[in-house]
Formats: sequence, structure tokens, C-alpha cells
Amino acid sequence: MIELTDVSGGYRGKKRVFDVTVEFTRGSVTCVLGTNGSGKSTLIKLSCGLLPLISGIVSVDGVKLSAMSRKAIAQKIAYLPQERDIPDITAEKLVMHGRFPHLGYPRIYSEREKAITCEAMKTAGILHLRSEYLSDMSGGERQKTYMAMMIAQDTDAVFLDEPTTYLDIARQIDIADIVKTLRQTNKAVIMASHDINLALSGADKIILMKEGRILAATSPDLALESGALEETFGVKALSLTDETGHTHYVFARK
Amino acid sequence: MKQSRIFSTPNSVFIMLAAMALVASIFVSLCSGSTGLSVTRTFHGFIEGSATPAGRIIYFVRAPRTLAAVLAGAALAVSGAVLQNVLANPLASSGTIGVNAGAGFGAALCGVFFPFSPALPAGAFFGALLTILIVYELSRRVGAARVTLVLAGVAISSLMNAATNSITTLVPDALPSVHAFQVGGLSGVSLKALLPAGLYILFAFAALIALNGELDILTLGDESAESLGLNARKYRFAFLTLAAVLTGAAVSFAGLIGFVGLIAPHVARIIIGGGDSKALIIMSALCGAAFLTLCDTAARAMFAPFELQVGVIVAFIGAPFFLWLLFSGKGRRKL
Repeated sequence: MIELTDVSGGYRGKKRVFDVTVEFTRGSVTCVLGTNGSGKSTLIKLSCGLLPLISGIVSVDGVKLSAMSRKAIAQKIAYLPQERDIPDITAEKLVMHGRFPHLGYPRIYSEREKAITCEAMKTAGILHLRSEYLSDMSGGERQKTYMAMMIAQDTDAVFLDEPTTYLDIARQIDIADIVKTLRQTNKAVIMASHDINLALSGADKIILMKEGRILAATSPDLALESGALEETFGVKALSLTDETGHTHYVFARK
Repeated sequence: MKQSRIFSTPNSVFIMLAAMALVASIFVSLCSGSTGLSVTRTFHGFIEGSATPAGRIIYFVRAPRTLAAVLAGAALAVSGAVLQNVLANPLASSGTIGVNAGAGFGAALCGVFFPFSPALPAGAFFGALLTILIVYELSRRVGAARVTLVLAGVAISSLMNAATNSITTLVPDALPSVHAFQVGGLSGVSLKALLPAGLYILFAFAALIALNGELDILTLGDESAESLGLNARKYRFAFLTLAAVLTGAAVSFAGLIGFVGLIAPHVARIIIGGGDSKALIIMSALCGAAFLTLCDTAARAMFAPFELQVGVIVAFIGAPFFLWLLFSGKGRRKL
């Protein structure tokens, strides 16, 4: 649904991503992997229209992103930034803000909006936190609240910038479960991540980035077999199979 | 809800209570002054109009003064609340980031070239807007650390005050009363001067209430706001402009009153919590208006027939209160 064609872009006119061509499709999870500074976040921001393109085209369902209003983009694409301030607001109000792009003026939150908000909080597993302030929450609860806001925004594409960084392992699994739910509801989920196991087990497609370019965009299996993953990070992968037949990977210095 | 607000009663109840407190402080303000008028005589004067001596005192002296305190208090408090939300900085207010001083410079400059009352708030507005944009640009370039903004404000304040002082030395008539202006004072304010400023304040207030949804979203931070479909740059500029309108209008007749814009929004936040810009704006306005009205009443009544400038009382109450806020933990998490 989102196509990038020869896209270059970066900050203040300085390119951080070079001539990238890639497509994100509905009902699939795409994981963008790469070392720090490889351009993952830049690629995501360019795809969401949050950074101006230096060259190339980003289109959503055939419509150029540059021809769409901010509001029209927000009805199609949700974005979870990597770092945020902690607003002084309750979970329920924040999640309700997810409906903002769908409301006309004046902004009246109807029963329907409230129902969607409530459902989103259920999906993210934070309904019991609805009247808690974000400032009083743990990092994991806060992250799930932001996920609930994105669910309430109800867009076809969802971009997550390192959603599991700084979270404990149980919270990481919670976030992975929410991502699976989003995939089941036929959304295109694109996330930048440092969690290779999460990418290998949960993603349909892996994009490997190095120095602002895409090294490979392929299935998790192929990314491993071709050695592209090892090359990207300069490590070697060892596979282990547990008693249930699941394969896990550990990585070691080459 | 551990720290974010202290009560769980609905906001509307607190807004009603604050509105009643404001009405009470207006009443106290109308009843006090250097001419001793009893409550009944004040009331009669109010009813009888400007035909009686008591009525003349009420309508020509006290009412404009009280109205000025209400308008200036509300305007400075709301501009403080907006600046804190939009700049994501709890230390922001028109006093701390140099906007008051900028408005003062604008007013003084205007007093030299266009010495008539409707132009004064406009001049102050342009001075305020210029300062806000300079401070914002500077702090954005260095990464907008919270203290940087305030430090930039200190520098801009000195610069603008120096410019104002130069103007008032060279052209003594540029401002009505230089001393009252610099401390912040409401003595000698006339309805004629209040009317244009009051209209600016009402306009900005109405615009902020109309845009409260956008302010809520902008408060989430630029990236979150943009991804929710709000043009953050455009709306931030709009909100900073409205804050400048409020500050400029207040400074044009009340001078450089500090602290109200810093304290009132914090008190409002402690009472009603965050996340609801509309309630925050209304609550800040009520708190600021009531606070300044009471301070002005004290300034007039304490040493009658001598008068202190209201800015002096505001500083005496405001500074310790702000220190308490800073160190008690009530507002520490946000500071």
C-alpha cells in the first residue's frame, strides 16, 4: 500500500537515506534492521511524510504523499516515535487523541469514538489503566498506551520506531503480541528494531540497512541463509532448536 | 493519579469554585480604597451610578482599576499556560522568557511614534511576538533544553529592558509612568486605555478556547502531533502569536508584572491536572484574575492613603510561593 521509489532524504538537506525503493503491503509485518545510524529512523520518517524528501516519490495507494494534507496522511498512516516527552494526561485521553484525524470541527467525541477508544485499550491490554496519568506509569505501560492510541487511530499503515527498546522481556512480548494483532486486522506494520529474534520470528519481510542504503529486502529465512544479516551487523548467527521445534538464533562476533 | 492532581472531583466543580472566588475578590476590590466606603455605600453607589460621589468613585476610579486587574491577571496567566504547553517547558511564562520585556519595549517604541492608546497594545504585541520568536528560534537551535530557554529569556529581558530604558530616558513621555510601568502598576488606568486592550484579550481568549483541541494535540510533542495530522509548525506559530497578543495587551496598561503568568497556570494544573487545555485555560484565567485583583486591593489598602505598585505585592507573594512550589514537590515533577 505504501511505495517508495528512489527515495533520498535526511535532515537539513543532508542525505541520510539514499535511493531507496521498497514497498510495504497490507497484512504484513516488515522489520527494518541495521546498525545504529544506518538510516532506519530516517527511512520510517520519510515513509510517513514527517521528513521532506530530497528526491524520489512516496505514494500511498497510488496517491503521492506530497499531494496529501497532514490530516489525510494521518488517516492512512500512524507513527510511533522512538523518543517522546511524557505528557501530563490520562491514558484514556491520550488514546482518545488517536481519533483526532477522523474528527471534523468542532471536535465532539461521540459514543462511537468512545467505543473505539475503549476497544483499542482492550486490544493493547491497558483498559485497567484508563484513568492513570502517563507520568505515573512504567515505561512498558506507557508504550502500550501509545500503541492503543495508534490502534484507535485505525490507519492502514502503522510505523513503529524501536517499540521494544528499553522494555523488559515480558513487555517486549506484549508489544510483539499487539503487533501480531495489528497484522491480523490487515494492517501494514513497519518497525525499526534492534531485536533480531523478534524480527526473525514475527516479521514477514526484513529490510537490512547499512549506511543509508538497503542491502537486502527479503524473507527472514532468506536474510539468514544468504548471509546478508550476518554481513549487515558483522556477526555470525548460530541456530538452536528448542524441544517444541522452534528455531532461535544467537549471535556472536565473527 | 498520585501527583498529577490532588482531588478527583470533576473539573467543572473547581471551575465554578474558582469563578466564585474571582467574584468575591472583585467585590472586595470594589469595596476597598483610600476613600473609606462601607459595603452598603459601595452597593448603593454601584446601583445609583455616577450621579453620587460614591458612584463616581466606583465607576471612574475603582471599577476601571478592578477591571484592569482582572484582565491583566487573566491575560498573563493564560499566556503563561499556553507558553508552557507549546514550548513543553514548565518554566516558561511571559516574565521568565523575556516576553514581558519585549512587550514593554514595543509599547515604549510605540509611545514615541504613535502616542495614542489603541496603538499601544498593538506595539506591545509586536514587541512580545518578536521576543517569543527570537527566544523560540534560539532555543530550538541548541536543542531546547528547559533551562536554555529561560537563560535566553534572561538575556533577551536585559536587552529589551535596556532598550526601553534608553527610550524612556530620551523621550520621557513615551510611557505614562515609567516607574509604575517597570514594576507593574495599575494606578491611573483609564477605561479608554482598557477598552482596546480588553478587546485584544477577549479575542485571544476566544481563539484559544476555539482551538483547545489543537492545543491538546500540540502538547503531545511535535512528532506525535504531526503523526495525528496536525501541522505542528503552523499551530505553534498561531499559539505563540495568541500568547503574544495576551501579553502585549496586558503589558500595555499594566506594565511589567511578573510571576502571575508563571504561578497561576501551575496552581491551575495542581487543581485540575493536565491533558485538558480548555479547562487549563479557563482555570488559569480565573486564578490569575483573582490573584492579581487581590494583590492590587492589598496594594491600595495596606498603607492607605499611600499606595504600593501591584507588582511589588505580586513579587512579595509570588516569589515565596514559587519557591515553595519548586521545593515542596507539589510541582517538582513538572519543573
